[in-house]
Amino acid sequence: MQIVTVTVNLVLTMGGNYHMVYHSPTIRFTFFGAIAFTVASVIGLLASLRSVDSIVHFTQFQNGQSQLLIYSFFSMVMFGAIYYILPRLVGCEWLSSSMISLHFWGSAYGGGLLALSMLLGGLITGAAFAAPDTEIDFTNVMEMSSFFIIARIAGWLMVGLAHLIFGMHFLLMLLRIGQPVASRRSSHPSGRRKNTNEPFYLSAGGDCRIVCDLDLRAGARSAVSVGWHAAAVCGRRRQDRRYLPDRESRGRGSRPRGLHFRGLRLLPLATSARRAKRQRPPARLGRAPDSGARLHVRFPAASRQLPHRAGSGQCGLGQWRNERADENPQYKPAKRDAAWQLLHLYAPTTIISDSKMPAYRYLFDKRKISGQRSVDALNVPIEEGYEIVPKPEAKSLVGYLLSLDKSHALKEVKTATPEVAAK
Amino acid sequence: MLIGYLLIALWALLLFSFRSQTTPFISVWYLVAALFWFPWSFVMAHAAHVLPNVSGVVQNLVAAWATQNFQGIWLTSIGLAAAYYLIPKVVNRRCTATTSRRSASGRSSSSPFDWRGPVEAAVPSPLGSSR
Repeated sequence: MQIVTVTVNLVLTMGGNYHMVYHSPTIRFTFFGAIAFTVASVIGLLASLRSVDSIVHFTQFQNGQSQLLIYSFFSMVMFGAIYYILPRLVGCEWLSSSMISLHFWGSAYGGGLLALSMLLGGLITGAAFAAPDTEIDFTNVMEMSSFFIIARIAGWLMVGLAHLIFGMHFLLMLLRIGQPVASRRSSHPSGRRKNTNEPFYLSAGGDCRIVCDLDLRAGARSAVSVGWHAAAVCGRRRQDRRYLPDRESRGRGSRPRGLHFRGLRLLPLATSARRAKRQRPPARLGRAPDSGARLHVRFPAASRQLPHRAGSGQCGLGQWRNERADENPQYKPAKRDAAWQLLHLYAPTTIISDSKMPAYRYLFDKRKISGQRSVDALNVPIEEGYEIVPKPEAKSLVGYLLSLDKSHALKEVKTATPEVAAK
Repeated sequence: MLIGYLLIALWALLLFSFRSQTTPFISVWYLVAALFWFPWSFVMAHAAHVLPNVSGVVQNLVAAWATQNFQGIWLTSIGLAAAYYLIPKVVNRRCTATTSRRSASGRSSSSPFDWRGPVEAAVPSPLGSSR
């Protein structure tokens, strides 16, 4: 009865949110644990029947049930709790989604194999002992169970490997090596670094590349948004973005290190490897709400080389947010709507005469006017009979830029909603 | 060890009695139940072991009882408390069933008593494997 209520409660709570299993390591582990609890309890119930017990007593069956309860249920739930708590304690996200995956699958399969081998081994040896023809002697039965012992060893190896990975991951988190991007609102504002104007670029499999010069004092949020948006622009599928953008490269080989999104990289524009080593990843900068943020975006088509160093021909969309007059006397607030942004992308110097940003002509199509002029054609002088029309990429980029102007709330799981807490 | 535990329990119970919300979270029920049951089974098991007249068979019984309590009450309660906290929290919705509070607390209060069948049934068979 109690098993049923617990199971029904947890499963119904999950109801319709099973995709969370893919996104949230906490849910992954905890829900696995909840299922394992049901299984362990049912097996415990069965084993407490005297008819069943008369077969499986004296065997590893009992160990298998304990294993299921202690490891697959309790430990997995506790792993889920660790995956939930630790990022909130140290103020940063888990570094590697693949490490989490490895840990999960190692634990799930390893623990499952352990429990299964013990339960089956217990059943089989127990049945052999309880068989009416008692010609089977003790050594034979023990030899029979050797297969299950080997399976147990394999299970322990898997579990051990998974735990090794988890321990390493945990240690990395504690030492805060390779800080990821998504610092939470509650994270320490004191984590500010000096080089706040490091330029970064995002790359996405070589298809397109967004170079951004983020003033990350404005918050890691911006970097995350850039990552999300780059993912959207580059047509990454939603499923590719498991576990939030929370990875950071450790500068393997000569590659500069930076923030890793799944399939995307947000890298500092370091010119030398030594400098790249010295540079702190931007996300540790914390947040200062009043500071400006600048974003420079470029899409070199299918180019795999690193963008050139900051300052030499640095491109830019202008200071688009919170630029204060005392920092930039030339700054005049202009209404930067979609048309402005599109025109700025197509021909920056028509708007900002001294702009160093290259024109993103490839984000636009030049085509013949057939019949009526297109609605979103740019108002630029070109030859008669033609019009400049933005591609969808340009539109989504502009949409993103416009969306940055709002100070929207950071989306995250609410930590202290009264209605949930009041339950 | 027990004294250290009692200090933890004391603080937790003080927190619980001065809680701001009158209807506790399901997790809290489990945790409070675990707070009570663990020292009870711990003390009882130790006391039963050091009693002078306890024979080997009864010692085995006590060991099985204590093991079962440790798994079935302490670990299960803590684990379920964590699950009941984490799953609704991360999914960001309430626990669905309206009866959940009652059933959850029902589980935690009755589980110490359903730990196994009658002891007499377990005694002839080897202890610890009767479940």
